[in-house]
Amino acid sequence: MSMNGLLEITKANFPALFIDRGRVQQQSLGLTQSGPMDEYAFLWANKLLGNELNAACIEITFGKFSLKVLQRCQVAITGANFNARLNQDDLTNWETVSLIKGDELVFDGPKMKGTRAYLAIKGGFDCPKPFQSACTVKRENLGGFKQGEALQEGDKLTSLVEQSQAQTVNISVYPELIRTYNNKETIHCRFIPSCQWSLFSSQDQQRFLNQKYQISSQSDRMGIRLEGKKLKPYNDGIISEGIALGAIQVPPDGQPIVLMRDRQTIGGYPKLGTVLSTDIEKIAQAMPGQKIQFHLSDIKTAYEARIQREQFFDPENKST
Amino acid sequence: MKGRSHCEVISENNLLVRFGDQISEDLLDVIQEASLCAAKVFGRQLKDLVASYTTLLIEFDSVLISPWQAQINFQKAWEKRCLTLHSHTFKTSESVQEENNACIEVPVYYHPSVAWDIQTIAQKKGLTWQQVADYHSQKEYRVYAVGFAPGFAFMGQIDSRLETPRQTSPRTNVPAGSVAISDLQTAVYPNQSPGGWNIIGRSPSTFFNPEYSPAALLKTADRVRFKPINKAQFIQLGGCLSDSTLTDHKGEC
Repeated sequence: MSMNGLLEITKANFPALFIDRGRVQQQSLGLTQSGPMDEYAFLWANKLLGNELNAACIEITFGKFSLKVLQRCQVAITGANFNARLNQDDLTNWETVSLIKGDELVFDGPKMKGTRAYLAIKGGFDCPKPFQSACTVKRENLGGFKQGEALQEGDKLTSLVEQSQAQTVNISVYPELIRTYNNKETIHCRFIPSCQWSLFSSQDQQRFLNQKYQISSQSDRMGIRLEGKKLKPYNDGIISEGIALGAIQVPPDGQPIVLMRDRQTIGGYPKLGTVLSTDIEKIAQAMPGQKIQFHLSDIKTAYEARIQREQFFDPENKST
Repeated sequence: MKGRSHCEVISENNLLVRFGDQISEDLLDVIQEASLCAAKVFGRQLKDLVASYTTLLIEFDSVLISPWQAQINFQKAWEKRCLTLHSHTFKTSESVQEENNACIEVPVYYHPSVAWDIQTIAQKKGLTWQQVADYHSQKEYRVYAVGFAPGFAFMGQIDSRLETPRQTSPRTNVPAGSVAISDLQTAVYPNQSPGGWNIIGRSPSTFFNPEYSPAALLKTADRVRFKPINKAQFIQLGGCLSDSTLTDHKGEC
């Protein structure tokens, strides 16, 4: 660990947040679970460096983020393509990068290929962990260096482990496993009909399944808002109940909202069901205006996809 | 029979258990009991629990237990629990009873200078603002759910003479400690935040602090009473009279 920092932020125009897999066992206090919007990219960033899967990374939203390297260290970059450059050279996404003092790491900005990139450092970032999690949640004043604030220009970053002084070999994700995000494509998203699904009219169920929604610009880490032909929630609301990740709720305006990582713990809008947890990242990387369509799925499919992911990233099941 | 439930698998790692469709104090105790039951059944398989008015959301680790097994395990344990408790008059276990018996006293300065809506409510209801304060502080409340913001406790039910719908347009900044009502519910804003409830007082107490253990003053099923205090007591207890929202540390403003 270095007291002086390994990296210094020189630009942070959009939210760049410390994130790990989330805050668990705290929802009874009213705290959101939080966690990475794109779990797949987040897990790869840590896996590439041999980190613990829950190690703190930086989730960079929309790019426009730059760092100055103060001391030798190794990082990994995954997720959205923000035209990352090391000094003047283009960097390939989804690989580790060895940095030396004086280097400049720049994430330029949206290439219209995803909205969130992940920057991991060997050993994980050393950051505050209120309620045992690095997740930064502004509305709860939790996480980050300044009670919930995003990272700022001038912030210095260190790792929990000593960085190797020897030349390190860099590795990248197998090409077939690399995700590219294309905002011109329609996102296909599976969900489990549940909760109040059966209380929507069959006409509204069909309307939900048959239309292509547009992702609203009014979306954030709490929820992704959709715009399309309106649905009619069967009444004004329900008695507030706990909300699972990926719940598709329908407020009185009839435009569904998919509840994401920073969702509120309880809510009183009727829900159509739950998006598969392994499909959440597709919505997370969507650009405003992008098209999305929902498809019926089931618990078995959701369970198998989850188990497959956990076994891939954590074959020895160390994190549980 | 009370305690009857419907347990739905809503995702590969969440069960949503419904215990009824009416808000009641009895159901609150049933759900507390079910939370204990879930904690015991799942042990380290449990990831989180969210108790609300009529439901319990159980999140488990699907690497350790499949959703179908989780559903069976909970249902079996809960049926057994219900049988061992009285089946007609649902009697909660001693641990739940003990926890619920203690009543938390929350000091409140009811005064128009900090209670932005108390006079409007009084006028609408044909009361004096002092009567609004009296009706609010004369009842004992239960916490039905915690959510919206860290440590924000939904309490009920207030005196029906005070029933007031929430503001049509929420305020962007409600000061920390604001005591508020909406419909038949009451709550305190733990930190400065946006809010649409009607403000009828301010408490000098700390309702949420990550440094404290427990971090939240109020939790689901707690019993709560509001105790009127005067201005001097309010200040002595660290209360802040300013409407400034620049700092959320009471006493420093």
